[in-house]
Order: sequence, then C-alpha cells, then structure tokens
Amino acid sequence: MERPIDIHIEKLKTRLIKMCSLVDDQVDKAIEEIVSGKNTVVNEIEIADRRVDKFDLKIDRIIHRIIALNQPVAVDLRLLLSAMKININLERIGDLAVNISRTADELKLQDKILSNIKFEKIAGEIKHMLKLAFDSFINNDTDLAKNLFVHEENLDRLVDFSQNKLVEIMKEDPAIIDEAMKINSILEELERIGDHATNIGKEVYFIVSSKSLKHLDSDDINSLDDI
Amino acid sequence: MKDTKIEIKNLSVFFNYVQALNKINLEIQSNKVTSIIGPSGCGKTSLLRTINRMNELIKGFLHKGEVLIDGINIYDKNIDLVKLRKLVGMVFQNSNLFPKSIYENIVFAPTLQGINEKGILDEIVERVCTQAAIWKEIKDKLNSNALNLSAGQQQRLCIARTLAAEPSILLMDEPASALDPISTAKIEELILELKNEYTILLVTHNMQQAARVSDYTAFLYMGQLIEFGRTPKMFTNPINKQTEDYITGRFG
Ligand SMILES: Nc1ncnc2c1ncn2[C@@H]1O[C@H](COP(=O)(O)OP(=O)(O)OP(=O)(O)O)[C@@H](O)[C@H]1O
Ligand SMILES: [Mg+2]
Repeated sequence: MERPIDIHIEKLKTRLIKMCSLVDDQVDKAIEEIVSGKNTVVNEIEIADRRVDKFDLKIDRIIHRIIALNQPVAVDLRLLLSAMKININLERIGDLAVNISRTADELKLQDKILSNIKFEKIAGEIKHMLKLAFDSFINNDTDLAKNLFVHEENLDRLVDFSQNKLVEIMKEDPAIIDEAMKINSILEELERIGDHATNIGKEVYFIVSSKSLKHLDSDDINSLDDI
Repeated sequence: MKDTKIEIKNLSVFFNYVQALNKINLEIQSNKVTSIIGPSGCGKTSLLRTINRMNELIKGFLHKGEVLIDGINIYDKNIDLVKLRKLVGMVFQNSNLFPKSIYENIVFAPTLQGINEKGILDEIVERVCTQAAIWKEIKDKLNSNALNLSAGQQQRLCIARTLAAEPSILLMDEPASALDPISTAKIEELILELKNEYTILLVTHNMQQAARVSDYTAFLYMGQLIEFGRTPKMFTNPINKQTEDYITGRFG
C-alpha cells in the first residue's frame, strides 16, 4: 500500500540525490582546477554553490513539512532526521569546494609540488569516497557505507604523508613556503570533505539499521555484525 | 489557480437563539479537501449541515448570511431541496446504514431517482464500491445485511452509498473517528482518491488526519473562524496564537 508520506519522501530523496550530483561536480571541478592550473572554474563553482544553497533551504523546508504533516515514526522518522544531517554535510562539502577552488586560483607553482606529495592519490580517494557515500545513500547500502571507514583511514594516512612531505619541501626551498602553505590548507579541506562523506555513510547506516556509528572508530565498525 | 465551489458569506447560525456560528466567511475550493478542526461544540457539524440545509430539520434553527454553491445561493426560496441533497452528499460520524442488504443500501438513492433497471443498478453498485475501496470485501455477499459488516466496512459502505447519489460535494463528519488505524488509513487514502472528482469537507478531531489529507484547514473556536489557510502553512507556521495552541495541544 502506498502511503501519502511515500510520495513526499520520494520527492525529498530525489532532491537530495540531485544535490549529491551538484556537490560531486563542484568537488570534481575544484580538484581539476588544482591539478590543471586552469583558473576559469572558480566562477562556475561559485554559481553551483548558490544552487546548492537553494537546495539546502528547499530540502530543510520539505523535511519540516513532512514531519509536521505526516507524523513519521520508525524508519520514516530515522530517514527524515538523517536526511536533515545529510543535507548539512552536502552543503558543507559544497562550501569546502568553493574554498578550495579559491585557494587553487592563487596557486602558481603546483606542478613542482603536487607530484611529490601523492596528490593524485588523495584526489582519487576523495572522489571514490564521495561516490561511496552517494551510492550508499541512493541504494540504502550499508556495506558501501561501512566501506567508507576504511577509505577514511586511508585518506588520513595519505594526507599525513603529504603534509610531512610539504614540510620537507619547505625546508629545502624556503622560497616556496607561501605556495606550500596554500596546498596544505587545500589538503586539510579535502580531508574534511572526506569526513563529511563518512558522516553521510554513518547516517545511511543509521537509517537502515537504527544503530548509530557516531564516535566509533573503524575497528569497532569492522567488528559490527552484518545487518 | 483558485476555483471556488462553495462560498460561505457572513454566515451566523442560531439554535433556539443560542448562537452556534458567528459571521463565518469561507471559500471552499473545487477538488480540494478542506478540513474543519476545533474543540467540541465549536460549530463544526453545524457548519457542515448548513451546506446541505440539514439544519433546517432542527427545531429552533435560524440562520443569517449566505451559502453559495457554484455561485447560487442555496437558501434561495426556489431551491429544490431534493436536488441540493443529491448534489451535496454527507457521511456521518457513525454509520447510518439501513437494516437492509448491502445492495439495497447502495441502490437507495439511484432508485429514488427513478433508476430501476437491474443491469444499471448492478453497474452503479460495483462502481461506487470500487471507488470506496470496499468492493473486494463485499462483492460475494451483496445480499447479506449491511449491519453485519465491521465498523470500518460500514463506514466505507456509507461512503459508497453517498457516492451512488452522484454528488459533487462530499461532507464528511468525523468519518474515521471510530475506526482502527488500518481502516483509518484506508479512509484517508480514499479521501485523497476522491478529491479528483469531488469537493470534500472533512470534520475531524484528529489533527494529524487533517494534516495528512487536507489541502486547506479551517480552525473554528466558539463559533468563530479563527484561521483558514493552506494546510502546510497552518501546520508549520500558523498565523494565530490560538491556532498554534490548539494544534500543538496546549489548549484550555
Ligand atoms: N440540535 C441542536 N439544538 C440545540 N443546540 C445545538 C444543536 N446542535 C448543535 N447545537 C449547539 O451548537 C453548538 C455547536 O455544535 P456542533 O454540533 O456544531 O459542534 P461540533 O463542533 O460539531 O462539536 P463536536 O466536535 O462535539 O461534534 C453547540 O453549542 C451545540 O450545543
Ligand atoms: Mg460534531
């Protein structure tokens, strides 16, 4: 039996999925900008961000309405509470992409540095994590969600490695410090994008299983029974 | 797009000189569900009953103001009451089926309208019962006594019987108040289906029900219309403090 709330929830999911693809595109462009040194995309990312902000408001309103008009319980309620948090995480990812592209806009010497700090790997990891997060949400797939934790650890290690490398580079060539610091801040923001992707995975896990993965580390999570 | 079906203008209602409704102004939109909510005794039923002139059966009833349906004042002297009640069907809080067979209950109105042909009546029975989402449950026992059905089935049968008169407006006075959650959900689904063809007024004590099924909500209090507007607005951000207190259960 299709309930009236199903139609509203479907609409909400569609909105969130659209928002996922907008944000995904923003991050792709920002990374592309860093790697290629093209400075034309900042503007595009900023325009996309205004769309993301509109989506954010709209999604909040939809959730507010569904709760007020349908008195959701159980899995419906979990979905709505989590959708609210997923929305926040998506919006933050969009903001971070904007910051990154603005910083990238100021880079001049990235060719010298990026190849030495495994940047390609970090970029690949971020893209993969976003894909996992979005796919797990779209398909209610807890395995993909759990998978995110492995990647988050991996990302942390890669970022650590890169930051150490940056320190070495700066010691060798003080003239490059300014540029290296910018790249360092980009690394930190990419790491935070990874955190937001992982948060989305946690919410998906909560929707499906009603178990909260907040404040657990990846060992705890890997020892969780499958659901 | 606004498409007004019923226009209530400055309507006041008295029973034995006690005022039950005070200068109500309300526009009911075609093919929408409008809920009327408010505490017991605030005048919900009285308001519904002015729309098919049922109040006139009550001794001591007096009214002032106008009720227009499709632009025509139904309190005009030359209004045909039989036609009016055919146009405006009513479903009551408690089922009021006759102690007769299911079939006879449904064909009551069509037969009054002079339809006698068995084939046509059979068709009507199947059509309205399907619309009222009860066909599957009764199709094999059309000749058994209607009062042997469960309360939820009886309520849907009442709806079917009302539809058989081919109204264009449906007045429903707490149609689900005596029902379990599943039957209630069925009635709510039915209301959402029916609004494609009918203009529906729904009196309910169940605020959540009003929120779930109606496009517009009217809040009555002590015979006055306190707030009227789109349901999502009323339930997320009502204008009036009394409305907010009532829908959040802080009243009294
Ligand atoms: N037949 C009647 N004779 C005298 N007074 C009446 C009659 N019907 C209603 N009233 C009065 O009119 C007022 C409104 O009654 P009404 O039945 O419309 O309320 P209601 O909002 O439908 O309440 P409830 O939620 O309890 O059904 C009440 O004060 C009631 O006592
Ligand atoms: Mg009443």
